[in-house]
Amino acid sequence: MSDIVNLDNLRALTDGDVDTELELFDLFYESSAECLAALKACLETGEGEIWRKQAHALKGIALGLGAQELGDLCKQAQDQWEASLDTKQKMLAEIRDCQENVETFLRNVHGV
Amino acid sequence: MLIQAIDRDVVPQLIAFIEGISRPSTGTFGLAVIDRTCLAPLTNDQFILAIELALAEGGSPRVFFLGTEEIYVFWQGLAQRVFAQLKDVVLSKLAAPGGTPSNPVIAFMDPQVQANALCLALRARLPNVPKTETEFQGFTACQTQINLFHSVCQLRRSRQKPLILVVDDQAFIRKILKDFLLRDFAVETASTLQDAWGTYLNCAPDLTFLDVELGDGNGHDLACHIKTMDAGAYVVMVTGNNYLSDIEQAKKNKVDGFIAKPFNIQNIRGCLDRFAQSRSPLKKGMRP
Repeated sequence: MSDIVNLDNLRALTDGDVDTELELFDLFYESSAECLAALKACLETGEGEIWRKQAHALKGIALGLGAQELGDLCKQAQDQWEASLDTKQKMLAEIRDCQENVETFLRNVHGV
Repeated sequence: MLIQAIDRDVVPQLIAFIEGISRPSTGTFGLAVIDRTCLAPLTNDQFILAIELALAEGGSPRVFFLGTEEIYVFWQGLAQRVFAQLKDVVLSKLAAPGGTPSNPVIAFMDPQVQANALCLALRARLPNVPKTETEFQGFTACQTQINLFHSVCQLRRSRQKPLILVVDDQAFIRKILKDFLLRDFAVETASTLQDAWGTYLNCAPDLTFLDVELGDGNGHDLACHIKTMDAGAYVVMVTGNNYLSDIEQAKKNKVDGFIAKPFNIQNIRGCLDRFAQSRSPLKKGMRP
């Protein structure tokens, strides 16, 4: 089974610099938490366009990191921005679970 | 000898003309701006005739009259020599009320180098209505900003390292790109369209990586504006969507590249290589 995050591309871009990698991980934790909070808020307000934009944003971060599965879930949420509330709740739950798995993986990479 | 005189609605045509000659393979161009009041007794036809006779060997001048204020004369060929001839014609025809003005020929410039500055100055004279769709987005600049932008543009060729502007609303993406590019380039970043526009005016970057979907609008709008305003611009669109419509819009805006996210080291390097080739001495003259 492949890892939930493939860091090969990221490491090629950062030239394997550990400090840079850790800074990027921190940015991922921070940015993904903001996106998840915004997506959750959209469920209450019914804002479809903001939902689409936040899903798009998290997709970009996830794919930039190398978290393909998380990126795919976000793409699905982005494409289905007009879906029913029930469907969106399910999509958000899946995204949140996957984001937690990614975060756990990243925290174990350098033991921090 | 082709001479064109237009009495009204001349500014848009003048801008189109300048933008046309700022492209490569047009050879040397010269431009003189003449104070129209100095030649008040002359009709437009009389002025054209005088120019035609004096510049018979000077190429193909084109004459534009901007109301009663200024006359723009363009010619292709030996810029300095033709300019001297033109100045002689003007001085010989002077009939300004209240004596001879000290500087009837207001300006001489090389439109290939100064086309951007000239077009921006001319656009400022147009009535205060949106000229293109992009101007509805609020991409405006005061005269001070425009002047600063012109000055910075002049420095492009003398920069030790090309300057790259990275525009993305995600700090994560900005950091990846910035850290990678800093190895060989100077880098500025912006997170919104408005930040990007302000930074562009202040820095006149050599290359801009521009995200399509930003929090305060669409990167295509800014790309279109930049490519219209700055003939020396090199813009690469970056998008996580990769929709056909995005690619078509990028083509329509005549941007210089398109990268789909997630980007990798190969497609960024490929993009930088194409940028370097576009600036190589072999292609000198392509960009003012």
